[in-house]
Parts: sequence; structure tokens; C-alpha cells
Amino acid sequence: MALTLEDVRRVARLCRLDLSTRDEARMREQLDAILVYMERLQSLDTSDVEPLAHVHDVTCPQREDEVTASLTGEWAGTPFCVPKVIGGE
Amino acid sequence: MSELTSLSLTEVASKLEAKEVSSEELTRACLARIAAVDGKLGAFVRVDEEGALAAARASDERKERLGPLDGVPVGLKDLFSTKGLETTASSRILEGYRPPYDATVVTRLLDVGAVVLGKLNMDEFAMGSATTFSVSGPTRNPWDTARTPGGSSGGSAAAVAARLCFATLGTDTGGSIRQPAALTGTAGLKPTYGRVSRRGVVAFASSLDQVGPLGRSVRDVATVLEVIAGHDPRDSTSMDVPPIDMNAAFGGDVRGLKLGVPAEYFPAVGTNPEVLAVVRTAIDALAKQGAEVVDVELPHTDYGIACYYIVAPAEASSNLARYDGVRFGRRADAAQLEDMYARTRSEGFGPEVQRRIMLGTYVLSAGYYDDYYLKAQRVRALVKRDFDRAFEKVDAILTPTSPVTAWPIDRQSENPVEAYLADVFTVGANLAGLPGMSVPCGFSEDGLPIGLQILGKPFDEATVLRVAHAYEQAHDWHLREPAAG
Repeated sequence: MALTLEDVRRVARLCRLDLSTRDEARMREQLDAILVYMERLQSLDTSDVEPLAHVHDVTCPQREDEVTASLTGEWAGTPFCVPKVIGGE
Repeated sequence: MSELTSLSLTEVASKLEAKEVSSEELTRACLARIAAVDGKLGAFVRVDEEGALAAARASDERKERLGPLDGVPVGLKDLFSTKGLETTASSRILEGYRPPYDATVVTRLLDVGAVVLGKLNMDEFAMGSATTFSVSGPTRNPWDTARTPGGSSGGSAAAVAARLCFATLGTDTGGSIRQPAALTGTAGLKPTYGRVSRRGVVAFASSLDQVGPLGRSVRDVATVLEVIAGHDPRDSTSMDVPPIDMNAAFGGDVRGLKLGVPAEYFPAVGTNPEVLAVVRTAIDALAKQGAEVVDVELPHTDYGIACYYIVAPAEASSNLARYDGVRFGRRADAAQLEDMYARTRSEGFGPEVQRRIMLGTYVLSAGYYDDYYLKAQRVRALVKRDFDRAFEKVDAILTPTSPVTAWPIDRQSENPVEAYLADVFTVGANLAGLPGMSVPCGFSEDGLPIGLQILGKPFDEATVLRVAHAYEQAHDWHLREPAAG
């Protein structure tokens, strides 16, 4: 099933990109070509494998729940003053 | 002056040790060479002359050297956070960004006295294989300046090939160290996933990215690797494993080693036959040196690109969500927050980055996640399984690094898939988390470098280096210098 312009617009909204009409059309064409290439994965039988998210057999390392220094040195104790995100300089 | 820059890192370290040369002389020699030659190449995007000379003088003043890298000028791909020194990942969205800290690998280099000359050009956010997707323009291959040096660590590779510095750091997510090394006749190594800390490295795909060195010889690369490798508690994907056994890497030869050759990496179509012939000659040479060459099978090789180009963009879409114009980097003018986000990102990201973010977002979105992303993760397990099985029979695997030699910069493929296929021999090692190295093994008829790729078992960089070093020392490909400059 070919990718539509509506698909492109939906995805662009999700990832906060602002595509012009011309960019939308080109994006649709290029993404469609890529997705057609990806179809080949469907022909593989993957029923006996688990999805591999991480190459090593490890779990997230943890540390003791102790308070350690966070901001140190030149940053310690300073408040952060930043320009307004909307309407700032 | 030019003779100094022609020396290897190992030779230069020796001269520094013997006080035959000073770090300041070396640094000035590199800076002069950059000034003379880099205008044609575009390897460096930022040269920190002041910082480099200060570090060089500090090195010369030290009574005891901190190690072999003390006083040696090096370059860093522009996605390594360098405190106070602009770091952009070759993207408009990070123009002017000065990190408040150094990446762990940068700290490790500075702690042993390395002299950082500056930051090197790359494909934006490490997405590309030609160093043509950069806000600074392309980097050119020193062997033929009309051609690409490969990518995304093209600046890192070109700088070494053109003798602008003695080693560089790059990153490799789908081949971005090994492929440019192959296309520029240099040595480049991607470590096992987790061997080197990623803290402070601008992230592309977190389960695939690895930092690695490029240099003129296997020994040069190993010297830098030894400094940057090691567990970092501040990178939770960094592995606490024993250090690389450098005695094993450089103390032996290839006699008794079993080297696997997968037929899938020598395909009849899609690959330059000259490349295959030159690589086969290199493999024969290793056999003559006493290694046993064995056929192995990696049956899911052809699915690697599809798998990689789902997983990597998916992870990238997540990692690049942080560039929202709020906390750092570029911020567009807008009256509403949503507009600010969209305008910042659309103005700040180049076309390839936008394409990959869109692709990644699509394959993760509701209704498509199972068919694309989860499916790709299962295929990734199959790719890894292929390698695990092959490594039951052999100690290392030999392949061509790149299916083609360096191509013309102005020959941009209209079809993105065609461009992606250039990574066919390199993505496997990233998907499986394996160490891999490219070393020069010859030239094409028209004088373009060709690389031999050596893949190893997880955390067995020692065997990879051993095979690479033994091959290298029996030939002189790595001593050849390009004409450019």
C-alpha cells in the first residue's frame, strides 16, 4: 500500500517538522521508495526469534541510592536565567 | 616541516620521547599543513590554534610524559563535545553551540596530553556515507579531490590521509569509520559496542553508535584505542570488561588463526569487481602468511540494510527530539510553541536528517510499530545469530569494507535506497555489536584506495588488531601518500 500525502502530514506532525507542499511531495516519493525496499523483511520467518534491543546480555546498571554532588564547581548554587522561549530575545 | 607530518603517530611519539622534536614544532607543522592544504579538502571545520599551541607548550613543559599521545596533534569529528569549543555535528541546528563539558573520550585524550587541533567535518548528525550532507560543504578525498572521502567521518579520514594530524576520532553507526577509512587508504576501527564511552557524543542511534580511532597504521590506531577505551559509569551502555590485550595484538602473527570468508560479501552484482579481486588477493596473502581460510555463511546479509535503515532512523527520531529550540542550539521566531518547534527543526535540520526522522517516526508510530520496528529487531537477532554461528568456526571474518571505491561528489543519487546500499558490508557489525576494522589493501586501476575489513568476536579487538597488523606489515599500502597538497 503506497504512502499517501496524508500519511506524510501525520508523521510530520508527530515529529514536529514543517514541510512545504513541494517538500511534502518529494518526501512522500522518497519515503515510499524506502518503504517498498523494506517490504523484503516481511518474507523472513522470524517466529522463533525475540526482538533484539541490545547486543549484550545486560540489564541497566544501578548504583546505591545516595545523594552525590550534582552541580559542582562553577555551576554550584547558581540559578539559571534564560531568555523567554516565546517572545524572548 | 612536511617531513614531520609524514611521520606516523608511533614515530612521532618516539621522537617526542627522545626530545628530538617538541610538541610545539609538531603542532605548528600540522597547523601549517592545514593552512596550505585543507582549503582544497575541507576536512577541518574549526581549527583551535590558540588552544592547540597552549596544549603543546604545556606538553613541552612537562618533566615526565603522560604517555605516547602526550604532545601529539589530533583531530576530533565535530560531534564530540569539547568544552567551550563550538560543536555542531555539522548541523545548522547546533550552530554556535558551545558544550559546557568535554565528552568522556575527549577528557581521556586531554588527560594524557594529546593536542586537539580542532573539529572535523562530517555528515550532519552522522547520517550519510559521503560527508556531503554538511552545513560546511563537502570534504574532498585527498586521493582525488573530485571524489568523496566517504562518510560520515569523512573529515576524520581525510585529515589522516592528507597528513594534517597524526590520528583522529570518528564514530561508526553503520560503517562511518570503516568506510571512509577504506575510501581514503587509512586504518579505522569500530570497537565492540560498549567498549568506548558514548557520554558527550552527539547521539544518532544509541544501540549502534560507537567511537573509534582513525590513523595511518594499525599500531597508531591501537595506541589511541587504548586511551579512549574503558568503562565509564556515566554511560550506562558502557561495559565493564577487561582491557584489550595489546601483547596478544602485536606479539604474534596469523599462523594458526582461522579466518572466515562469507560468500554473501562477494556478490556478483552491486559491487565493483575490482574491489572484490583486490580483497581476494589480500585474503590469499593472509593465507600465505599462515592463516587458515575457511568458508562461513552469513545468510541474512541481504536483509541487513533494510534492518539497519529501520532501527537507526527509529532511534535517531527519538534522539533528535531534543532539538526543539528550547534548551540549546538554534531557536526560530514564532508566536506559538508548536510553530517554534516545527520551524526550528525544519530550518535547522538538513534534508537527509529530516528524511530519517520522518522514516524513524513512521516505523515507530501506532499501527506500523509491529510490522516495521519490531520486525527489524527480530531480523537484527537473526543477523547477530549468523555471526555467533560463524564465530564458532573462525577467529575473525574477512570482507571488503565498501562495495565501491570513492565516487564523484557531484554524483548524488536521486534514489535514497541506492545511497544506503553503500553500507551493505559494514552495517552487520553495528547490528551485532562486533568490533571491526578496515585497513588499506590495494588500489583500483584508477588509483583509488580499497579497504579490507576484519570483523571479530565481541570484545576480541586483540584478534582484529593482530590480523590487521600482520597483513599491514607484509605490505606497504599504508605508507603511500596521496598527491593532494
